[in-house]
This record gives sequence, C-alpha cells and structure tokens, in this order.
Amino acid sequence: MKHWTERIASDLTNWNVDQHVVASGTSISGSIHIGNSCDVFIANAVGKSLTKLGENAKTIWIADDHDPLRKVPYPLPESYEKYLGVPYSQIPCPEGCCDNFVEHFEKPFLETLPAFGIDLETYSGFKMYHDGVYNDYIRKSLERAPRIREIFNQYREHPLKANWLPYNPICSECGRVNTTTAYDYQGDTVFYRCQCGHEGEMDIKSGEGKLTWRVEWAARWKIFGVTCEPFGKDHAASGGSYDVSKVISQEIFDYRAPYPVPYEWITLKGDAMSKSKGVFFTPGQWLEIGAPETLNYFLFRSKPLKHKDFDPGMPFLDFIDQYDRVERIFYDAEEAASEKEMEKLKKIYEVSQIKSADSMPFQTSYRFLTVARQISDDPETIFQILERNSQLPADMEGAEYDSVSPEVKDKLNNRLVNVENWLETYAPEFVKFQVQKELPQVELNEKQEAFLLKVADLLETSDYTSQELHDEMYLILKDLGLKPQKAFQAIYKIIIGKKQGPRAASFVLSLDKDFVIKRFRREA
Amino acid sequence: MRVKLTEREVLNPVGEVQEKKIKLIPLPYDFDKVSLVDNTKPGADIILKVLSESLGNREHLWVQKPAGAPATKQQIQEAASSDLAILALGDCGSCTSWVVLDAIRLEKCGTPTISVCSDHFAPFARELADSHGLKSLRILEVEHPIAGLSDEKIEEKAGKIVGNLLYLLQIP
Repeated sequence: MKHWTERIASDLTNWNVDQHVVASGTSISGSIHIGNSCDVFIANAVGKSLTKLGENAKTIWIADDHDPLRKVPYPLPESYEKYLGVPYSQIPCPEGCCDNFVEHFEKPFLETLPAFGIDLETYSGFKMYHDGVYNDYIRKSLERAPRIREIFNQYREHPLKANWLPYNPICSECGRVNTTTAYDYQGDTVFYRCQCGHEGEMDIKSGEGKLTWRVEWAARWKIFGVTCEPFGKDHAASGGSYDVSKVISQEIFDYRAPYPVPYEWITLKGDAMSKSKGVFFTPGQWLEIGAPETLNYFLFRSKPLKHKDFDPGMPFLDFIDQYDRVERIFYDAEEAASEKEMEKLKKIYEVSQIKSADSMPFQTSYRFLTVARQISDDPETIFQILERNSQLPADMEGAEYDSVSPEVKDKLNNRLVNVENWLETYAPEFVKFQVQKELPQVELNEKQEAFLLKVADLLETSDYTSQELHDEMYLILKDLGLKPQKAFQAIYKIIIGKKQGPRAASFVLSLDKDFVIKRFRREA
Repeated sequence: MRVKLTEREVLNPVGEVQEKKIKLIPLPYDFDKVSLVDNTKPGADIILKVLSESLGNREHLWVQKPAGAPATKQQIQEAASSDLAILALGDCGSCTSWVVLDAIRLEKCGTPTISVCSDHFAPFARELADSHGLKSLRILEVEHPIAGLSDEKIEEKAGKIVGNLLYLLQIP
C-alpha cells in the first residue's frame, strides 16, 4: 500500500525528466493559512517521496506578490481600500515592521516551515518580472495573442475582444494593475488604457506589468520545469485555470503541463477560510497548540479532494487522541480494527513524520494534560500527577522525573506548552478551573459533607489507582444514599468552587493528597 | 373515429426480489493491482484500456469472459485476486445483466467493483443490482452507444469518464 503522495511520486517516475520540480505558490493577499498553504505541504511530501524513490527532485514556492490586492485582509483598517488593485509588492507594511506588505504576511509563514521539515526554494513573482525572467514569455504571448484569445474563448461564455492582449501593465498614474487594458504593442512597448482615465505606454522589460494569470501560470511551469503542482479545487474546475493553462503550456510554450494535484478547501468550524473576514488558522497558530507532525497528519490522513474541517476547540482534543492512537498503532503498541486499517494508518503516520524514530516516542494524553496543567505548572509535579493516574507508558512505571531522558522531558515540555496555549486560547470555559487556595464559601448538605469526610478517610489510609478510588467513592455514595452527581459536585465545589470539573477520581489523585484530605475535612 | 382502449398489466421483468441485502465492499484506500474484466463486447477492451491507463503505476490483470453468460468460477476467482475490479461493458440487455451479476459475485468475494455501463442501460443495471440486494453497486456511465463506433470515438467517450473514475477512487 502506498500513501497518495507516494502514489503521485510513483506515477511521476514515468516522466522522462532530469529533475522533478514540485511547485507550490501562494497569493500574498494577507495571512497565509493552513487552507491556502496546503499545496506547500503536499508539494513537500511529494518531493520527499520522489527523493526516496531515487529521483532528482526539488520543491519550490512562488510568492504571487505581483498580483493586485482584491480585498483588504483582516485586521487591516479600511484605509487600505485605497490600495485595491495595486500589486501587493507596492503596498506598504501595515505595521511598519517590515519592508512592505508582502514581507509582513510572508515572513511569519516562511519562518514556520523549518519546523514542519519543509525545505524549498522560494521565488517572488515581483522579482521575476523585474529581473526579466518573464520577458521572452511576454513577447511570445503578445505575438501569439490571437491564438491565446481563441483558447480562452473556448472556455468563456462571453468572448474576449479582438484586440485583447494577455498582459496587464501597471498604470503609471494610479498604480493599479487590474484596471488596465492593453490594446496594442510594438516591440517591447505595450499601449494601454486604465479605468482611471489614463492612457499610456510601458516597456515590458521594466517589470511594471504582468501576464494574465492563466498565461503566467503556464509560463512559469516552463521557466522552472515544473512536473507536479498541487492547487486548490477552484483552479481544477472544468474549464478553469488548469484546463486553460494546460492548453497554453502545450500550444504556446511547447511544455507538458505538470501532474495536477487538486485539493479541497479546509473549513474552520464549518466556515470557509477568508483572509478578508479574519476566518483563518495559520501554520504558526497550529504550532502553538500542536506538534508539527499533527498538522501533517491532519492534511495527509484523507485524500486531497476530501473535505476537511478544523476546529481548534474541543474537537482538537479528539483529533490529538486520534493522532496518538495512530502513533501507538504504528509502533505496534495498540491494535488497529483490521489489517487494512493498520496498513493505512501506518502509512499515513509515516508520511506525516518529519524525523523517523526507531522506537515509540514518549506519549502522554494531551487531554489529561489539560487537567494536570491547571493543577500545576511545574513539569516535575505534572510528571508525578501522570504517574499517580497511570498516565505514563508502562515501561516508565515508578520512574522519577530526574531519571528520565532529555528526549522524554522535551516531549513532555513541548506538549505542556501546547496544552497551555490551547487552554489560554481555545479551551471552552467549562474546561477551565482553578484550584482554590482558600476554602471557598460553598454550601453542602449533610450527605455531601459526610461523603467528603469518608473519602478523606479513605485517602488517608491507603493508596489507590483512579479506578479503585472511583469504585470506592461509588460504594460510599451508595451507602449514603447520595446521587453521584451531588457527590462529585461536592468535590468540585470545595476544591475549584464550581459545580463541574474533570473526572473526579483522577482529579482527586492529581492533587496533593494532604491538601485534599484537609480540604475535605474543611481544615484547609 | 372510435378508439378502443384496452388496459394491460405490464410486469417488470426484474421484479421485486425479497433478498438479503448485500454489503458493498468499500473502495480501497490505495491499490496495487486492478482486474479489468472484459466481457468482449465491442469497445469494452478500449474502454478498459483508457480507464486503466489513467490509474498510474499499477498492475493490471485482464480477465476475459463472454458477454452473454456468467463468468466462470475460475474467472471470478482470478478477478477477485486483485484489490479492485473494473468490469465492462454493459450496453445491451443481456450483457448489462451479466456485468451486474458478475460484479455482485465479486463483491460477495470481498473485491470492490466498478461496472461500466452505457447511460442507456445504467438505470436497468441499477434496478437489477437493487433487486439482488445491492442497490449501491458502483456503476460508471459511458455515453450510449458504443457498438458500431470507431476506436477513436470509443476512446473519446471513455476519456470523458476518466474524471469520474478517478473521483470515485479519490485519485488526485
């Protein structure tokens, strides 16, 4: 069985090329999120698979920074509307911290890539135009404009005008690129009109203009020798960008279009990600709450055209539980439901890894840590809490925090940082609690008081596992004729001042024993 | 002019068969080997060739069987040895029946199938599959007719359903 990224790589080995170039590209129209950077992750995985197969392969990323601003991205003020239509490369940095708008949004994204093990060559569309990389392609496109127009018209309801040219100069008056229409050219000079009323001419060698998108896409396939490119499903629609660019690539530039890998959008809590509306989740935000491999797993666990929804709230805990299960299955620490499932999950896990490990890395429940971290911020204390609640791997039973390897400490600490960020940013209120240092002013009935005293006695006389304590507490509350809900409410009320909290037995065992006994006896 | 109307009851030859429902075998997450079950109808081999070429680097196992008869036990066993079977072609009454019935036998063996039928006979194929307890049998429709067309025309028609096949198999 192969993973789908490996299957693509395997199919690409049939191409007779010296080097495979797997391309990705992002429009720098705002923050780069996990939805529109999917192609970078897919391209990287396909590139790595090609290398594994012994192929010469590299992954590239092109910043579409010469495109015009179409919507003001969140959280920029309305005043940025004056830049609508202006190439991103010409817009100033919104916070004055970077050289320009492009760097402001591109930098945080590029800085996160090494954490995901992504190694790629980066290019700027703006720079390519200014360095003259596109010049020959612009000339050819102008010469072959009638044929390009015909190709476009095959897919268009309203045909393009007879003097249409596949090139948009930047207006020398208003600075916009999507309001100009080129209507003629002589040599390298293009004549244009702009909606602002300006009529002008420009030299294509100046870089102050750009090819129409579908022509530009085809041109850069040949420029870089692209053999594979993932892209969002919008480009993959019948008669869409890929279909048109494929014909242009073949007919105008005499280049075979790359192997297409269309992918489905990622929604955020059911809503389409939108930079202008501020509905997005970036790879950087992901790293705050999860290990980089978990984002790879999120992207690679299903086929690219399957819809994916991400919810960083409570469903994120289920997602991490699922990832941990797959990790255990990969290292044969847990059985899968079937042989087929095992094979599939192992493959997905393998493709999601940045560095492979011979043995299973230290793993402890993220969900459980969301409780432990609210009890203590000291890793050693948390380690003890994990031990008391049988949350450590079997081979670490009885281990002291000081004696565990630095790798284990790193794993635990990294997950603790992730959990801390999750609690602070995405955890719903009902998950949050604070152990009350002073005895809170709460009212308990006689039975509840008696329940707490009996549990205190139990804890004083013996050590329990969470299951044992849970069973003992049930015997007590049954004896007292107390409903479980009321009994556990007494525990939560007296410790965290709330009516609900984490699972009672393991919560009690997570706390300092003397503190719990005293608190149950209302002594502390 | 007087017209005499006579009411006649027309029986559906497929009928409604009370049968235990059969579970459709899910398509594999990935597969290395695919069986191409060619019922030797004109154009079936061309359609299967076009479809199989779109599947990339995978092993193809060709199984030939007559159009107007069920596949033999040996042919079914052979076809079932792959991770997936694609059957073609159902473009008339009898061959469609045997494509569907052979596909059901393969599903019962645990091999997921995709059956290619012409759009003219696809509704009949579905009805037949339903009456045999497998309503959701995967049927890929190719534009009718196929018989009597040139190889190029058949290739063109087969090319049009490649996208649907890849979508079914979730191949990018």
